[in-house]
Amino acid sequence: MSRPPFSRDGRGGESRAAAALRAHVVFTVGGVAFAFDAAHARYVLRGDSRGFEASVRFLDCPYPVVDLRRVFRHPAPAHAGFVVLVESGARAGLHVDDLRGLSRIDLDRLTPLPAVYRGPERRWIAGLATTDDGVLVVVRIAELLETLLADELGAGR
Amino acid sequence: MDVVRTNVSRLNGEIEVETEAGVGTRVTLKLPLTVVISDALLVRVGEEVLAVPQPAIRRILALDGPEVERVGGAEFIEVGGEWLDFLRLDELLGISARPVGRKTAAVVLRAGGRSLVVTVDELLHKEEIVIKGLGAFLDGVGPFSGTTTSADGRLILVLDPSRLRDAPRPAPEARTTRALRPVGGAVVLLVDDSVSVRKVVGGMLARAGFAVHTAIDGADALEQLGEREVDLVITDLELPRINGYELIEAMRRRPATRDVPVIVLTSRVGDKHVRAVRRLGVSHHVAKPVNELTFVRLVTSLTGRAENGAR
Repeated sequence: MSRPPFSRDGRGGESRAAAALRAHVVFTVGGVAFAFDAAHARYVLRGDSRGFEASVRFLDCPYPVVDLRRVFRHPAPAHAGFVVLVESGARAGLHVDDLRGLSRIDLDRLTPLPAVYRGPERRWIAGLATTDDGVLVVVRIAELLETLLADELGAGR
Repeated sequence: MDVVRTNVSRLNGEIEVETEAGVGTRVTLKLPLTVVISDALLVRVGEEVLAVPQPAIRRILALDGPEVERVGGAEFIEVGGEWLDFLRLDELLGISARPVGRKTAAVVLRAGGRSLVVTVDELLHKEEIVIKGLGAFLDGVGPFSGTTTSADGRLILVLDPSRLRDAPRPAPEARTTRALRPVGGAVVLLVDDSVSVRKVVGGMLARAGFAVHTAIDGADALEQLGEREVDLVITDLELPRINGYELIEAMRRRPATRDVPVIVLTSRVGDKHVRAVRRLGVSHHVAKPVNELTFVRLVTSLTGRAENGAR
């Protein structure tokens, strides 16, 4: 009997002993691959030449859209990219460059950021994971939303 | 030569330059036969496991403490009759210091034509590792040349002896503070027609807490300077439309930007270019590629925002 690759709460297949193995949504911004727990993803919107509104509605709930390129101070992208609607305490639409799909990440095997890395984003980075495609920056989505909503949306949006 | 050194270093090789007055200069490039797989010594520093490329290791020492001499802000140790730079890796990498009095291991490394000694908390084991690139996120962060993956899937950073040698030493009074401090949002305009430079240098400044705006040439920069106040301009010299010299001249003509400090970031480091930049009143002429710690410190000092950081 076939088994779905991920259960509804984002955990791996039921025979998987390690509870730390979780499905993550992988996206890129400015050439860096980030991942967050898929359990917090609600919906994905594809952009077009008109870009995105400052806020979008999904199932009657407003999701303020945050351009992560602007947050990370990258130049504007060459294409519209995607908005990933996420919810973890707060709600937001994360405007990203590209989506790479899902990846299973073992949270017990994350590598902490090297101590020499002193960027303020340390607070919302859970650690680094390795995949065949390179390094993934695993994001604590609740802390990221808290930072974004305080810094970005509070700054006059 | 900086570009050559950087690329050789990325391949875990080294470059030596020997000059004899009146005779000539010998440049020696040493590269491993395979650039993907290398023997490495795994070491532990605090909670972090790091890989040291085996070809760079001269010898291992056991230290008890008193052998180190301090001269000014630098430390040295005598090894085989030779005084070598002594680096405390935990402090250099911002890792919590080990308990006082604990015995320390040290590794003597070849770094270019010189040797240096770095302390580690524990020598783990030798291993054949597959070295991958740092990726966009980690590139330029610390004295590392690549990454490898441990048997249990964790990421291990590969030390780069050349970058270690060039890394600024933490001042004794600053040893317990953070190597890079957030700087309270000083605004920097980075002008370069290379998207890679904008991305890499912009990324390292953003990670240090600066608000970074980018411009693709001098004309774009002047337009932006008319729209927003900035605390510092970092510019290349060779730019389309309006070049770096013309940009600085135009800034000096405008009352609003006359006093904005400027760093020239360029691969043009010959005397002719340095003198031309100085004539424009710019004394900070930085060669590409930049060392992150040194560069961030320079930017911090020029923006005057160091005290706003989380010291």
